[in-house]
Amino acid sequence: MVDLRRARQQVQYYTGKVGDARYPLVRTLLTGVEFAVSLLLMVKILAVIGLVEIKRDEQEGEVRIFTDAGRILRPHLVVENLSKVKSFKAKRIQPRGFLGYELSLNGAWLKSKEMNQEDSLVMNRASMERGMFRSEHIRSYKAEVDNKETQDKRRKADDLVNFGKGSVQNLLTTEHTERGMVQKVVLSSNDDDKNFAVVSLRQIRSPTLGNKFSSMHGQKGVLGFLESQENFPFTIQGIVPDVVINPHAFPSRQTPAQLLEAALGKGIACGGLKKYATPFSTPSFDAITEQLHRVGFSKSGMERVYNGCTGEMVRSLIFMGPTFYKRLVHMVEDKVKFRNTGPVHPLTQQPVVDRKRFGGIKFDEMERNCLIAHGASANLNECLFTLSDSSQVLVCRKCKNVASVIQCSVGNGRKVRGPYCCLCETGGDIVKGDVPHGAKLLCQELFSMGICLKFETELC
Amino acid sequence: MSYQRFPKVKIRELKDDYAKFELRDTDASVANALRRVMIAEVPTVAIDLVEIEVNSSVLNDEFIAHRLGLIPLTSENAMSMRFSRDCDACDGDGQCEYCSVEFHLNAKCRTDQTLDVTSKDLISADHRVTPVDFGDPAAYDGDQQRGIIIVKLRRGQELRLRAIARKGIGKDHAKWSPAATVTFMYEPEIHINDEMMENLTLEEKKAWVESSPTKVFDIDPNTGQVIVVDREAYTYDDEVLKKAEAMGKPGLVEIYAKEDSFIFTVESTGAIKASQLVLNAIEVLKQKLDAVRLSEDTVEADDQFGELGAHMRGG
Repeated sequence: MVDLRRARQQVQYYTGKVGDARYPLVRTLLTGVEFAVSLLLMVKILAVIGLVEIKRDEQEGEVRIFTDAGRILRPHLVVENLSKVKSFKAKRIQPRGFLGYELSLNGAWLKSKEMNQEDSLVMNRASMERGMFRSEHIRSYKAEVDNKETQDKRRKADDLVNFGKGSVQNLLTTEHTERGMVQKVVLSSNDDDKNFAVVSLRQIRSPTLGNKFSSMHGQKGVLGFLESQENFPFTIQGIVPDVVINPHAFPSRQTPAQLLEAALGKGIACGGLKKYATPFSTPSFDAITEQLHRVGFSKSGMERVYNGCTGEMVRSLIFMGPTFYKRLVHMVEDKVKFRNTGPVHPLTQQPVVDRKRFGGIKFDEMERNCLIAHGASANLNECLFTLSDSSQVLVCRKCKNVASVIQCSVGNGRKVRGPYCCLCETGGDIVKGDVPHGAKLLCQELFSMGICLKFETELC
Repeated sequence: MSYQRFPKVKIRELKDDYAKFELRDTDASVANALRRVMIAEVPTVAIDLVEIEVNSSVLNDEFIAHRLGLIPLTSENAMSMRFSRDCDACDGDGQCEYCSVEFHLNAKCRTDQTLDVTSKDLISADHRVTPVDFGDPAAYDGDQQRGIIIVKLRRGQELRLRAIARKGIGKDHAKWSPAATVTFMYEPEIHINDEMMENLTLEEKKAWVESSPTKVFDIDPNTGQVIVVDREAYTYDDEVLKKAEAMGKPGLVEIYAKEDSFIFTVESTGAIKASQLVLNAIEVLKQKLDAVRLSEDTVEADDQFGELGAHMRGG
């Protein structure tokens, strides 16, 4: 494997055929007498980039550029004196299966059954099922693998090569919440004679409750409810929104640009005209309203909608329009925390909080205040004690000190294990009480510093 | 006392995938129920299970499976098919004639030209269930494939799969919804106050007529009177009412929505004809109502409607 890699490094000029597997994807064809000018320029630029091959086909009168996908998508390729080029034949880019994170969709601004309060949004389940915001996630795992067979002499082509046979110490496991299909497995090596295996897991995700979305104006929110299409409001033309957002998100945030985007976009979508929408040349308010009026909407872009549940007209007019939304990478699937029982912290005996280690969500002071406000004392007790670090302590009722369990001999060589107060030197009047392990720990730490805590006990 | 009404339907326009009709003498509840059933509960057939044998295309297996599911299939006989969950005759492997239809797709690109794999490459085991043909038969061109593109293949790439289509409803997944658009509007009733209108100048009349974004009103070129040209173009956007108010003439026009007449627009995905979509929706609605009527007598309801009866009782 290492030999192979070194040999490959020595081949500096890869002479691939058209459509060869290695450089198949982006082809930019230029034709013309003046191609030499542009070619020179390109060589200059592309030499900087590397990994790009340029070939001149005199018969076809073409210059062919071969790269892998995405390498020369953006300003890397500058062609000057384009007017001198006889014809710009084709620019063909074959993208590899990327799914859209970002979508232009139909948003409506209304309050929907209180399911979109506090910046959350309601989405149309039918749109989601038709592929809206469906995306592919690939996660790779790299691990070193032992390979004793590389030291052997050259192998024949049909020999079986075992990678990482019998090595368990480099085993990589996914987290307990991770799932996916194996997209590819790459076995490779570096110059230090180390072999690696890279496994990519693929996952298709469609929006679920709690996923985060944002418009281009920083109006972000989480998905609060997935409503069926038939329950969604519909217009006279039968348009059903994909996303419903709450108008309360706008007054205090001062992002009227999103409303302008939707209003302008609505007119454009109906009229089919291009409009500048850069921050430097926003169409005037009148231009937007006039355009809307021309294509048959009210000047404000508001529409009459019907309630999908009852079929009645909604009393107020609703603003609807195309808006660009994107999905943010915060997804519930990556963040779920759940446990019933699981690992505890060795010192405090409390459940761990780390998600990677099957931890739980910390129930802290603010949550505590919340439960107190609700008067849910039994629930509070359960959360902070039973479900956390419940433990027991022995207290001597005579000296009010913490007692311990020891083994002591009772005459005739027999030994008895039981509660015993070392200060009173008796095992008589000792009671057991439920305390959090944290309290016990504090008691022990203070004890180690020479501070003794005394416990008043009372039977109840 | 009986509250029974006798709704009337008047068909205005009927094409294979488009229908426009009036529904009169009934309530919004009935009209909306019909709309909801058309979107969510009229059964169709759609690809539900995909077994991929070879896939070396740029799209991953899940992506292709999802795209296959969304292809509309002709579902004229979906009403008489069984749901695979209710089918006793099979174990859901696609060989059952009552509940499923098997499809095969076998495509490989052998040329330098990109091969479009379309819904026409799907080979059905049942001639009644095939991918919907969107080609215009009048303008048929032998070379032109007009199926829905599933994936594009380059030289050497291959796609081979087996798919099973099943009956389902839009409530379960949008791919089973036969409706592209189902909407209705209340028929508007427009009264122009002639007395007030006469007092307006021609400019004022013009400005008022043009305030409506849709062409509802016009001025008669001979008499100079404002007339209603297309009542149904009114979208209840209140623009003319606001304009009248802004002109200081509130009450210039009064517009009411008739509570008992609706104008429906139905567009189908092609899975079933638009007319059939409406009829099937009525049939499903009737079944549901029968289930409600019989829900008191549990045993009888179960005998007749099986799961539907239990569903209606909230089970």
